[in-house]
Amino acid sequence: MAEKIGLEDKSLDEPPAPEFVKPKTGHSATSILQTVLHIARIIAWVVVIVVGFAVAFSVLGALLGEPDGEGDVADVVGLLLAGLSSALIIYIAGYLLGILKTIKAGTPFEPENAMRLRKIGRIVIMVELTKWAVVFLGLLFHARIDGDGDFDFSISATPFLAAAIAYTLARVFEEGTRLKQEQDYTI
Amino acid sequence: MAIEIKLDRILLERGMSLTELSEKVGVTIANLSILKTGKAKAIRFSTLEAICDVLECQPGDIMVHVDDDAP
Repeated sequence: MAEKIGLEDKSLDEPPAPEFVKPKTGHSATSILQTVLHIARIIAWVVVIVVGFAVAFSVLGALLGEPDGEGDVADVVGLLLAGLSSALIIYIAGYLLGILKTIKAGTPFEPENAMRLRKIGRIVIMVELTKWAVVFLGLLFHARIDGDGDFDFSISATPFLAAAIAYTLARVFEEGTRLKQEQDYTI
Repeated sequence: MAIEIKLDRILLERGMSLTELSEKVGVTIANLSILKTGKAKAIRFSTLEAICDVLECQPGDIMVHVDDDAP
């Protein structure tokens, strides 16, 4: 009978573990961050939808009318890059909201959080590489239409650093989860 | 498992239930169940001392090392 009592009951008469002692400002800071992320997500969705329509009109316009070459390609590339950045914000904000939810619930060290951070790292790299591909294709089309030209293209280390931070944090959360489990099973 | 828990046997010898031990030691039944079933990852000296006090035994009576490679 007694053996059937679940694990969740065991900490009832034990002092709270240090990681659950949260500063008073923590909760409101989490709420503010959640609100900011929700707003960022909504704005990013609006941008993605607007960019989708704009790209569709640009392509249709180019197909139906007389393309003016440089302007069209540069516009489409610019729009696609903006769309990709917005899509990145939607995904990252979604995963961060998931992490913040567990922090609010007092259980941040869950295997899912490490997974979320890994996904953030992966998406950041994928979006950056896709941006390169879009710019490269834009260069190809631009060269074909215009013959030569100056196309603005820069490589930044920031996304890769962001991905490295996300992967490092994922490892921290994995280790935290392992330590939490160990603590849970220490009598 | 390298460490085998003999809490069941010693409780039987003392004619004590897990609930009774839980009350006397001050550790929840759920935690004692984890220990009894061998799922525990570690045991605090304070818990071990309390269990030994109540059961009037030595730590070695509660847990034994078992060689995994033994035939």
